[in-house]
Amino acid sequence: MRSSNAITKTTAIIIAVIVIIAAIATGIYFYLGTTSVSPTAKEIPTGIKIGLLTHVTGPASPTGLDILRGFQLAVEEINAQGGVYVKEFDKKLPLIPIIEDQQSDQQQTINAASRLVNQHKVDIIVGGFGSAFIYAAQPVIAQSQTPYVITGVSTPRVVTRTDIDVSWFVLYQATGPEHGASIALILAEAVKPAVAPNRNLRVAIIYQDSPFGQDFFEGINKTTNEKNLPLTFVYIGKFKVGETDFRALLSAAAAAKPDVIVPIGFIAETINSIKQGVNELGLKKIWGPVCVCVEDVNYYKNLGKEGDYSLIQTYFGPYHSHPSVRDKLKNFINKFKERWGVLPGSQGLSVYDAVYIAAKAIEIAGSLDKTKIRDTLRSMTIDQLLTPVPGGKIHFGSKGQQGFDLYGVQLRWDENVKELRPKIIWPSSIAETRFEVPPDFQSGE
Amino acid sequence: MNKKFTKVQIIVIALILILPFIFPDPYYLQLFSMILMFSIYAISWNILAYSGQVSLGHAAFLGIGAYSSVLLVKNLGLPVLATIFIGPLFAALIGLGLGLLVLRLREWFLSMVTFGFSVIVQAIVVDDRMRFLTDGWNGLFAKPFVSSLFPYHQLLNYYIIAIITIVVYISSSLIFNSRLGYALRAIEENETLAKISGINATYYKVIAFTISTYLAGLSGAIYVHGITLFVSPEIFNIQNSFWPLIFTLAGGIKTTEGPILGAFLIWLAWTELSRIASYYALIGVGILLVIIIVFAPKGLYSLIFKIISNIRGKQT
Amino acid sequence: MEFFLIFDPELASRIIFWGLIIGIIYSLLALGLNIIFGVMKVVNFAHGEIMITGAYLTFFISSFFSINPLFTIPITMLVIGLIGMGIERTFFRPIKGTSKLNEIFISIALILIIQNILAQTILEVNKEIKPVRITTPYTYSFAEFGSFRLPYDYLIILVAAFLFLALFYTIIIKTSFGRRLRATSQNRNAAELMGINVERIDMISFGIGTSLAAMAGSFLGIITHFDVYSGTLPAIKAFAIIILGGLGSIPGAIIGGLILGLAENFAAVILGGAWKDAIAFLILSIVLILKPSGIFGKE
Repeated sequence: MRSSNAITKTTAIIIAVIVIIAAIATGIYFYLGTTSVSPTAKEIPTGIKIGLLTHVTGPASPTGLDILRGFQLAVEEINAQGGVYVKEFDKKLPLIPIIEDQQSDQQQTINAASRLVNQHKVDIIVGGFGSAFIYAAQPVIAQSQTPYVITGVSTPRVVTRTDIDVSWFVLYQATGPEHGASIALILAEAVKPAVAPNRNLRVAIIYQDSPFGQDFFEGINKTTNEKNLPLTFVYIGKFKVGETDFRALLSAAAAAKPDVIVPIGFIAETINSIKQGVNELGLKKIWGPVCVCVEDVNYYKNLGKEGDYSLIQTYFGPYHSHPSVRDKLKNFINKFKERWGVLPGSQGLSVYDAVYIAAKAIEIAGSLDKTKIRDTLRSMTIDQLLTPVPGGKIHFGSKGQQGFDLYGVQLRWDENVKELRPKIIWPSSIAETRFEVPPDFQSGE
Repeated sequence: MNKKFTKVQIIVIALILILPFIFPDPYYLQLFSMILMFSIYAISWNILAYSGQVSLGHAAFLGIGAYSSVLLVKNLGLPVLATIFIGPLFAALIGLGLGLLVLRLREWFLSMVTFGFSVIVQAIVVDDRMRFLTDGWNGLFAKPFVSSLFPYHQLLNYYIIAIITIVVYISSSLIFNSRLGYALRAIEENETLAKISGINATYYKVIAFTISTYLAGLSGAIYVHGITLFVSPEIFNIQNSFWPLIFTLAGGIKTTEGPILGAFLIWLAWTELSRIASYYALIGVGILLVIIIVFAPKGLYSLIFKIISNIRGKQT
Repeated sequence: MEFFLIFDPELASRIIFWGLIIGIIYSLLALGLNIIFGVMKVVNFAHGEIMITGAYLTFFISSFFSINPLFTIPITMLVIGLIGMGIERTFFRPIKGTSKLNEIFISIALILIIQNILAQTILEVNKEIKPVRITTPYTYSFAEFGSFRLPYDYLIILVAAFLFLALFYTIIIKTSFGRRLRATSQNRNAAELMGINVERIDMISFGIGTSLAAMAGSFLGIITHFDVYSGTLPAIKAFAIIILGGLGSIPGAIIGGLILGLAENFAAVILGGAWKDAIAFLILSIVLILKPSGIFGKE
């Protein structure tokens, strides 16, 4: 077959050169054609294209579905009111939602982002989950100069990296360092005085070996060192993503005689570690504050009595809320439940807010010009939405990030509902009650 | 050695070169860049499979090549276009070592050891003692081939990847038709017989391992400098080890064009189906894979040839 | 990391106990794979997905009909065994004899199909696909020995698994069916000449293998949370176990599983969490490099 297919080198080169020249000629024609066709400014669009990046499939899809639902609810609400008023066209335009699937995969996240900006040519993007995915998608989005309100990343590096133009991105989420700081402060200000008034609090940390876990842990460590907090880390252990068996790790942590064990992981990991520690290893310690990502009605249902006296560091949950957003949040939770049959999680809430932030930015900019939207996103100051933010005002500014007002809750067993229920214990300005030491608590000393 | 290009090769090369103009859309430019990177990766896997050694952990070398290249740029300030070729040397060096260690292993024992190797490398990269170099799970940002300030930089980026792909593709067909290729085929068919007829099986198998891991490293370097601009320990994930196997088998194992054909068809089908954004899309991909392998157990490339020769047979 | 800790006898005994629990699950998984591999020489990477299907089946049957999950396990095993036979016929038989690689290819396709069918089904039933756990009537009760707590669930699992393995071993060694199975496993052509219907043995052995996976999955679901994606890696580790324990060897698979459970727990404590997955392959690589045919293999 080889010899019959073979043609001489010269013929080959000639054919190749002809093909390439022809190709480049048609290509340049096409490229000039496509680049010169830009929508004329006066043409009124049928709506505002708002893109969502989320994981509809793959291992990240449990959270991805929450994001999808929060997004759709917000879009439906805004459209029910006729859409967003855009001054440029003197008209209310409906939101056209465009959802692309990240598939819990880096390559497919790039493809999804590329479809949003290059094919659908969306006006603004919201959502996205997982830092390693978003990092890889950012160059494509920055390249297309599309504004993007990121919600599902806890690392500030998405808005501080220098290799691409990050002015197109804003991060609406509490970062790892912020979470870590408030975990450390809850331990130092609420737990330490009650448990170890005359010495340092002995803390064991077990965290998920992932960007998320690393971020949180570094935040705790940094705040403790910077503020010189009275905390001693007696044990630091890591577990892999999706770990289900914490017995060995917790046994080792217990051997280091801690007062407090802080598991940093996703919801199932947190439940498993506390249940295994309390129920199977019989560790009578203080648990938490654990991550806000456990805030889900299932956490309260599944953790059971083992979670009595444990702590969560949070900004939103199904059974508690910051006083400044309490009524609005209750309304949102009811609507979400009615629409989807399940309760929202913290990511669903963030992206719900992000849709409103995007709408607000377009309204204030009065235009669908992407540069104007970007500049407005960075410069505008608006009232907080459903997530409590410091000072009650959302402002991204030159930093490009808006953090949340984090607080601490302690869970207590409620005999009436046979489930755990939370009470705010930190900071003292909004605390409903004081931190309580479990009666069977065994001190680390 | 036969230095003439075949018709098929010219078609493949011409297609790679004119693709951006058939689909003049930045989305497809991005998508095809990714597919070409996967083609190199699949070709590298195919060269190893040619010698009868099946790797299920090629992501290890993809990642090592990527990390080495990024670190060379970051710490020594070398230009990207140099490091993408120097970095994979490190992958090849490790590949050489592993190749020597696994020489005596039976076919899928070797597969399991290579699979394990990718898990072990990931554990090393995220280990606290390596943080100073790899920054753990944070990962490292990578410089692009062409600065985004450059006009037509996406097109240039595509052509850089395209030219490397063409060179790798032509080299792989040269390898298959060289002394090395014949030796590998003889070893794959019957190692004992090959040894009796005077072929140094050890030597050739290790050479295949080294070349393959170099090319895997090269595709990793292209991946991070040309597509993601970022490298993190997720690059060692299982699916990245499975991709080259899927592409090569679907396209046609032990053919030079099979890996490229497989990468194009499977990745395009997967990506376009994922527009549905539901679990049904992935069920569809799974069923598609089953259909391909049941109806074309030797891959789509040989199926196409079968169809073509059938048509020709009817005409004459 | 904290190497000295393992010399603490109390801690060490705990690590050993918890290692045995997870180890018995690996044993069941590896045993199922080993039967399939021994008889059919098929490499099925989708074994972990079949295990998770079993776990979900037990979860749904026991929660919908409020039956003790320990009693639903036999039903689950039967159903999954039948599904396994179907999988053998529709997926593996058509490509039999083409190449070992095609089997790996088809099992990767199977992983995709099973995971996503499961996810879609659970989404429609539960409206979300968050990790779940099977609860038994004994979930909150445990026997106490000093500071040592043994939840009843775990004791039941250990006893049930060992009893089952003993029974299974007897069937394979003593019955005529077992002899036919072993004959096919040792020499397929000879078995065929002896009048054994090897295709039927193939299908049955696939069914047995998958129902063992279903048992492993149900136990896993009782001791921890699981979701659609928790099965892939344990199955690949199970391959490492059967290589170490010897292809086709039943005691090898059981002991190998237990050893891996122990090794993983010690690795997590001593080396750190990332090494928990890597340790299985580290052991495998070292053993194979020193002795390329495996611990019990013939040179």
